Amino acid sequence: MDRSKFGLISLLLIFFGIFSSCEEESQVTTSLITEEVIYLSGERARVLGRIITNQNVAASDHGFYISENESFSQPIIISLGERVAPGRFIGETSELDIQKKYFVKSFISLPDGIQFGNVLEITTLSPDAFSFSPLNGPVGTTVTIKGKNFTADTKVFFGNRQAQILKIDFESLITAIVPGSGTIALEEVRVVVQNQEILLEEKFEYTTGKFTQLPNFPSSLKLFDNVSFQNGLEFFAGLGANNGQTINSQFWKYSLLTGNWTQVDFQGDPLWRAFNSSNYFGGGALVISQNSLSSPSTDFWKYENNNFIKLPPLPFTAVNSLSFELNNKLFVVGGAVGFGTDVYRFNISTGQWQKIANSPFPVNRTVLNFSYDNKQYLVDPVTKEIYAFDGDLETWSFYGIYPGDINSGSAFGVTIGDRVITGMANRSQEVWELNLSNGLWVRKNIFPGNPIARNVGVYVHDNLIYILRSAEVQLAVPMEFWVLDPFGL
Amino acid sequence: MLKRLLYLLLLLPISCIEPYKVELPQGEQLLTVDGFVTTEPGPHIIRLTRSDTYGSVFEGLIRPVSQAGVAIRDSEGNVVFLTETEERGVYQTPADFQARVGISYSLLIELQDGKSYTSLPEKVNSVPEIESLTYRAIQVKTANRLQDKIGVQIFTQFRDPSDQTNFYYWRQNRGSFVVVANPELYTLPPDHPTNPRGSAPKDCCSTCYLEEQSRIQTFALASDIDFNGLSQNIPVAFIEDDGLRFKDTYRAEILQMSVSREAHRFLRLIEQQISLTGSVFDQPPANIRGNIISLDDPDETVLGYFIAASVSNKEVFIQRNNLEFLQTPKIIPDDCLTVRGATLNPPASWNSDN
Repeated sequence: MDRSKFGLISLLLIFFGIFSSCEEESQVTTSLITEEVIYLSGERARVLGRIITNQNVAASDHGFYISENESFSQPIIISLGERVAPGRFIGETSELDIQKKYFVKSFISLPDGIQFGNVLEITTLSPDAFSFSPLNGPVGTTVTIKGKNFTADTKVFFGNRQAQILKIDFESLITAIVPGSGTIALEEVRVVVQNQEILLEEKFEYTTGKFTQLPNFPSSLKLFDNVSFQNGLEFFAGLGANNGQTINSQFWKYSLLTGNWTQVDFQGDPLWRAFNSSNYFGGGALVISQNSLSSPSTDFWKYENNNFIKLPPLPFTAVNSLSFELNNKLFVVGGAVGFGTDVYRFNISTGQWQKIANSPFPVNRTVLNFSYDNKQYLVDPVTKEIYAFDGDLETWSFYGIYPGDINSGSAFGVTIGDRVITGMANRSQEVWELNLSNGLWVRKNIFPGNPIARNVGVYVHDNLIYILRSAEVQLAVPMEFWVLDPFGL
Repeated sequence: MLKRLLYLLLLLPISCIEPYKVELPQGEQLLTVDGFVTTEPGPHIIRLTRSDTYGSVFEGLIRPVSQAGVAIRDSEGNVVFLTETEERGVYQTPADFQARVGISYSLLIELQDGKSYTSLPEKVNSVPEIESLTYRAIQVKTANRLQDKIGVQIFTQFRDPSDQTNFYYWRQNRGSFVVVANPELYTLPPDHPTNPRGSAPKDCCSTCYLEEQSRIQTFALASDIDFNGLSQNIPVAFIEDDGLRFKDTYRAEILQMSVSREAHRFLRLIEQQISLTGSVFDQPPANIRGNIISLDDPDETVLGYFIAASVSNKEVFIQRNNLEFLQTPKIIPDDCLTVRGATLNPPASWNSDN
């Protein structure tokens, strides 16, 4: 071989030896971290994991193991499926038990085996219920219960009856429907979370007020602007205007013993828009007129010993006035005369009338009023302000604001114990209860009958309220007679 | 011939300038969360918006995210629901809500489209009380060599606790100041029918009060890595003298907050980004990852950060007499009530004698 060729080949071999190198396969490591528990409640845990590597992974599955023991036997596996890209992942389970310790770790299934992240220890939280609102309402009311860590299987009970849960927001706000009532109005509210029972401090008060319709009034007479009063077990209604159009001279009474309406003989003149109290009636007009003041009457009557007794005539005109009795005195307030604020006192013992200080607002016989503790409470129909008239001092004082409908008047007001039941103003079905011991108003069940009618007689016996109602002129229906059990369910 | 050739050569360099329009790809409308809760009584505000494309011309609107379900949940499971205010996309906690030290808080968001988001838990760490606030006038160089920026720098003095790692975040609350006007210099308008620009001194009013809230919030940050356990005197706010603010008295309220390490890192990156000047030494612009995560898609980019912090606040009354130098005062030759927002009554708890 030529020496120069040999030299060239040798030189090439040396260069090849120098510049050639072995390619070493680099080992890429994949790190897995169970970063933190970003949400933990009674049954739910939301865990954040992260795959750290500088290239894609070929994971057939990834996620978390959660177990009650550190050896992770029988774990809850949160499987998030295949994964290619590194980065964060979030797993969530809502299968945990409340107030229990768990261990959690992330996992990733790689071709060369399953890899686990670090282990975190968690303890699920305990549920609690703080309050609910509203505190009262009828069956079917939507209530919200505030608390924390409610689970999906949370149950709510009113008494022993389970409520329908509409939704639970953020595991802390239950929206539920009040179930049917039991035998008592005030029921305990319980929240059952898994096996833990939480009794709420406040009780739910079912709206009470049970209406029952009695047989209709037997005559075609439809009373308006009439008088009504009660004598023991007998309820009286009469005079006024028949269907609001013709003057009526009839008197009828309802006997609780027989359950029948019968006509009563009354020898006096028919009175339209006369005042009436528990035992007295009078004034009004002899004819129906636009301004109420045509042919005013000064007749003054008392019902005693099953007889109408005519008393000396009134020394003043009282048409469309309101009257009430307090402490053996009869008071006649307002009416169509003047500003409607005149007040007269009749001393029942001496039979003397005297004009006293005016009322703070114009009053007529349709003004809502009720009595309690020797005071008469009247509601200003314009402002809904309630003023109390003291029967002894004969002074007026502001009491509060009436929350219900006034409309065009004629709402009833009945006092039973320390509760006042009011409502059913013209065209209103609302009924309210005032607790006089704390001044709080609550709604009662609404009147289920025809609202296009007005109360023409309201009577009370044995904690039941009897209401005679006349439908408006345009409705050719007889007077209805209802009984309201104000505390009935 | 040579002359013609010269004209021809002169025409050659002339050309039309075509404006260059930057074509940007349509930006994503990313959910943006902005807000924090503190140990102060509420209401605390969370603002939800959607980002939009940023371009050389008007590209889109930053839209509020309305009618979302927003709640804040603590590490004990207590949830407080936020209600949307009259301003769309702004949600507020009840007034009685305040964060508690040692408790972690998460922001929970449910959008109308069913998507859910959560923040990473933010733990509230205690913050040392501000012992005092001091101030001094400073001059800051600007791009305009002839005119420096003059203002007041506020310093906070506090003692950093040695037994914990603290990350501090300072903000300035709403400021208020005495507006000094010169109603005696009032002149009639130039179009006055009888006496244009005639002198018409007014009797009232020379001093009013004005509350102001800068649209752009400045803030300061620090961590106690370098001063753990030591007393500190740190500049935390700069209030520029605009010729009106320091004519009499200015009241500044400083919030000193303790935030988490992660929140501090986020704010530090924000601070870096907003201080870019366009020079070659700037940090590269970057999308800063917050602590809000989409539960439906953890890889979804959500902007913003939910901060829970304990707070210590203090106010300082900056008196004109104590300032070494001031901007040339602006003259208001009219009733001070003509300044928008000015009132004759001092703001609540104004006590400049302190």
